[in-house]
Amino acid sequence: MTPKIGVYVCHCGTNIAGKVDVKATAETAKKLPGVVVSRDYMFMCSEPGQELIQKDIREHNLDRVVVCACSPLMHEKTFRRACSRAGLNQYLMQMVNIREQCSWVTEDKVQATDKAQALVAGGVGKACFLRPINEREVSVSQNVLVVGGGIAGIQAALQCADAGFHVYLVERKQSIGGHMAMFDKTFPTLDCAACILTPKMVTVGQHPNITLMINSEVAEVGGYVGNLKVKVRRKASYVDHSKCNGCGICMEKCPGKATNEFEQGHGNRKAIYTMFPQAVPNKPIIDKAACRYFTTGKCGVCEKFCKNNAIDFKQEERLEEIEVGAVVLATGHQVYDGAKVTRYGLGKLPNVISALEFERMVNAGGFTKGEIKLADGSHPKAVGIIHCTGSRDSNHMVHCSSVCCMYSMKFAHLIREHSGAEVYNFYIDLRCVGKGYEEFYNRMLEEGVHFIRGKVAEVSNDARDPSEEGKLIARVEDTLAGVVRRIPLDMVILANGISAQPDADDVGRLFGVSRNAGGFFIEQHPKLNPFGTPNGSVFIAGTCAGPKDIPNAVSQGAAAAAGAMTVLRQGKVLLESTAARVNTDLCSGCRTCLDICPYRAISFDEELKQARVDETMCRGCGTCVAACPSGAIEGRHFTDEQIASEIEGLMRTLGA
Amino acid sequence: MKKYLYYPGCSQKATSRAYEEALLAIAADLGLELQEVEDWNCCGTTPVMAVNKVLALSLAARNLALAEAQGQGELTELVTPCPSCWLALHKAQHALADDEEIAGKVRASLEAGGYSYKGTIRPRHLLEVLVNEVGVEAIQQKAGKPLQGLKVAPYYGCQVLRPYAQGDDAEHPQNLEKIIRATGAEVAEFPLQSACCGGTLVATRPEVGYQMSADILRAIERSGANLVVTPCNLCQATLEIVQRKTPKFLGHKTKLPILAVTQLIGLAMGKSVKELGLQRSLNAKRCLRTMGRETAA
Repeated sequence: MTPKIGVYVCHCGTNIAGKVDVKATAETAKKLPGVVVSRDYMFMCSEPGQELIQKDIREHNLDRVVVCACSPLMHEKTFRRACSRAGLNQYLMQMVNIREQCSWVTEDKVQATDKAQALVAGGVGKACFLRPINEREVSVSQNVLVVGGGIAGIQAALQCADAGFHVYLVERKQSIGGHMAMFDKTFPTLDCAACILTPKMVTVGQHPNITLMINSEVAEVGGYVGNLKVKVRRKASYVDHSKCNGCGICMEKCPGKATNEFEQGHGNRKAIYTMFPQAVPNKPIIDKAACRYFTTGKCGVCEKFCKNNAIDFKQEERLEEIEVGAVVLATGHQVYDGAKVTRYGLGKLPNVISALEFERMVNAGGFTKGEIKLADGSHPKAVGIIHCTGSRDSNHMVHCSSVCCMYSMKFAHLIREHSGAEVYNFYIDLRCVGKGYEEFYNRMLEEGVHFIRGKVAEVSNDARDPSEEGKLIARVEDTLAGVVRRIPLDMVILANGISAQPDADDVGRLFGVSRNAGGFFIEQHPKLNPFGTPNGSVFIAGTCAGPKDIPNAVSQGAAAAAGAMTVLRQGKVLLESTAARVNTDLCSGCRTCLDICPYRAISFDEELKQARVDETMCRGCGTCVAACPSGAIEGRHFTDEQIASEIEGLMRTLGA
Repeated sequence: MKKYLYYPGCSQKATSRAYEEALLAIAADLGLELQEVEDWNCCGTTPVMAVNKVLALSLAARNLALAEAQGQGELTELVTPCPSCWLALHKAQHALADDEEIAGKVRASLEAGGYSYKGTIRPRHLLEVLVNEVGVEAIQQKAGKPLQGLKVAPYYGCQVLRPYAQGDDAEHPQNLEKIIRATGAEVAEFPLQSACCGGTLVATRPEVGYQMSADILRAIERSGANLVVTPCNLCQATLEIVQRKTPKFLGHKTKLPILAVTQLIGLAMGKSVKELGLQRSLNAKRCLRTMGRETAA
């Protein structure tokens, strides 16, 4: 049966018509096989333009429509809907791109018109062989996965849970809280970080709609949009948390010791431990490397003292599968290693410390109980804070870490308050862009903090006169005074910046989210969708998407939660209709397609000895179609005969 | 054997004869075959550069052209022990490749002398070649860690690290440290290991130049080092000379032996005092006593 094709050539104002002779193109199209009507119009995407198509479908009984306009990314959906409304299966509409791939990129008008006519002929050629396809809907799982339990993840989890959705919150460490749990005060209001964070942590721990999975990591992501099947690696903690009541006797009695990571390497913790006293859940796990039972085979003190028989040395790592409709990635950051900026002497010179070390030192619960002390136990009289350590530096990270100016000034305030020592802030630019931030800077000036504009060249112990003996000397060009200065200090704090997590690449690949040059996750649109990703059911929040302070991390966590809930609330999602299909008469069961499918949509039917495509998982990429040695797999909407006919149309018009 | 074109530079034939003597004494054992560029001339170092840039680059370019012709495409790597020479040759290489305007002038002067240069030579500094090509393992194998008990200060000077730092990290250099450890000695850490020694300022502005070296010597002394090793002939000479005047600048006399990197390796390999030119040192006696070799002189 000969098809009845309608062709519609769009002017797009002068975007197309400025280079392509649209009238001639529409006229020549009339001569193509199967074409019963061909028109040109100023704006095909406008309502009268769409009406034109719908009227022709009804009056001329069109069974194929070819729209020659812009990229299908722009308006394919528009014209598909127009056809649908007129009762034509939307997959019988073919778009021909004569704007981005023709008029915009061709200088010469004659060449542009020739090219447009060839493209139109190709489109008409393909249209002849288009077949109707029915779309399928599937329901969306009503669970949300939040990866990472820092402040951004906590916010996202609470919003979704409060709205009535079930949340799986996966946290790699043994407690939620993230970096914020280590901080002493928060800028610029100077409220205590723990006081505002721990209530939220406790709410997460007790929320009926939140399943908290600590000491766990996402191992695999399968399934499809709206119905992701996620395998979570639950690492062995050797404590059965369903039995443990968190009494802490085990930690008290444990003889095993290890370096305390939470206190940045200052002091020890036990082998069975919680990260910090306000940890959520406040139940310990066993550090296998430090545990005497595991290293020597003898001990088991914790087991003896535990009244609830919660200790389980035989516990093994296991994979738990969950199904979720949407994901919020809030995997956080890693503080840049200040020791990499070798000229500042971190790790070599005593009393050069990192920002997190200072946070713990000045915290009442930290390793000095809040006392600002030097390595020898004495108190500093002069402290230097070096801004931009590792940030805004082509040898380290090019980006601005955005929080260091403010936390450096917070440090300055805390030092003045706790010790009265002189404080020198060495900065390149002061970036105080948040609400109340500039006011905080003014307050620091009033508190007598010194600000020296210049990048410190070096911190050394190279004393040259008696005033420098036993001091750390910061050499810096004071660019406001125009002199090079040597400033003797007792303590130097490096304001080391925010870098991406070392495994951000792996996590990104797992969820199909790309990373920028710094390793941070890329949003779908930097301005209009800064919390979504091109993967429609994955959202990003917090510092995994770039350096940011607490209010911004919380805002983004809430926005990502709203995005995730929008997906869930729609209830249904359309499946990709262009899925591949295996011709069972031709499949020889060679299994070539199984490994190359990027979406793991192909399985092997052991009974029939043939490949089978799971249409819910197939995204219609066509990789298997090209790879199948027997030509047994067909890409629906991209069949061999459709493509051959398209090429034929192109070639005939080009006179080849 | 690894073959290299070799450019000694003027210092190696005069003030720093010992540096080259030691190099030639250890080269064969380390599997280095050095083919000296014939008819080489001054590299066009700092003083020339300060007066006439085209002249300086042309002097360096002539050496590169000679090396290219002699290497016949088979040998392209040009090794020099002198950091100033290395820097001058490297700069010329860069200018010829990247700076059209100046390259034209330099090529014209080469042509006037009947030379041409295609740009195939890669200048390399000896220290970096010792670590990255010969390898620390080979040095350790030949030396057998006999310098245990000595504390050696690694002093780089500025020119091997700035601005190019080929084969090392400019801010955290490790090549000398690797060699020191290969000889069995301990590394003495001190804060000014890549600070400028003052160089020619010692002659032109003595009060500035001497102070710069004196600061370095003080820092080294505080590190508890027995001796200093350097890849730079000018630094070696400067630090030795300045030690005669340290009472004026530091208030006390310093008595640190300053060795070229080739001398340190040679000592570890058991070469004689003469072979390594150690007798030429301005404080030779102290130097030898430190090494436990006073009788061998």
